[in-house]
Amino acid sequence: MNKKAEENLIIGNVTYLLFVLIVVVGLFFFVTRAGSQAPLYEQIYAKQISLAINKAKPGMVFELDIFDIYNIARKNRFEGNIVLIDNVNNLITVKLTNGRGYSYNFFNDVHVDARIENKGELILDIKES
Amino acid sequence: MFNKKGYTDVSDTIFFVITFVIVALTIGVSIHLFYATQVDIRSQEAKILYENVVEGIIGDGLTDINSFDIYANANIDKSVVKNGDFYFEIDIKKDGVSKRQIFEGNREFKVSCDLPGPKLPKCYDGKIIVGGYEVIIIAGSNSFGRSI
Repeated sequence: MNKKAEENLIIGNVTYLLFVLIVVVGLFFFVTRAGSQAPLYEQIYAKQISLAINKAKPGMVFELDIFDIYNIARKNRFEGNIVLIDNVNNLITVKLTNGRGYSYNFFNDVHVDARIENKGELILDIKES
Repeated sequence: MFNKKGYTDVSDTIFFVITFVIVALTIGVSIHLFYATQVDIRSQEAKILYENVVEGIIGDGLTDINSFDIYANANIDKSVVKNGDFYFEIDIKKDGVSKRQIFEGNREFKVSCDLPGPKLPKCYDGKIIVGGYEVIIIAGSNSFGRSI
């Protein structure tokens, strides 16, 4: 085999291996994220919380059991805030992985303070906006 | 991958790549289809929006229908309603004659509320009597949120 052919062979194989590696890594992350059912739970809880806030009146305090998604988040090694409330844009974001999470609007014009107590109890404090 | 001379066999490589891509796509598309289901809460949202509007009207008592501000009375965020996913309509009547009409949000819903279809809005309507006025309210939602 001459030097030119050898170089072409190496370049061809390295390119092919890189392509396979990129596809496999991408597929791996996609399958592990989908397999944990995190995206589905993010959507379900964001919408449930949205319904609760839409129905709420200032002065109310909601206690929601979110033990199951708390455990999913910890299993995914996500240590950040699971439930984020953006009171400026009226947006709820539920994050169970290090991704962007799932966001959903609420139309009730209230200010919401959210905190998690006892490793899975979501407290929503509804105030005047 | 290599023939007897030590060179790569291009047809084998292409065949392998195509097989690999087909398998990857099949797995990817199957998982995406399985998890792409939308949790549909549009009917519940439409009902809550309707109830919020009703509470706002009852709270005001309709003492002066011309200065009546639904957003101030019903605790509804104007910017969210105007984002295109929500709609509500209030028709204040006296003796069968319309005295004031309020349309807020996506006005296409006025027509599409009455049509069947999975992508069309879900609506809720009703009639109440407040301060001697007959008030007809329609509320609708077509908010799916983004896909997962």
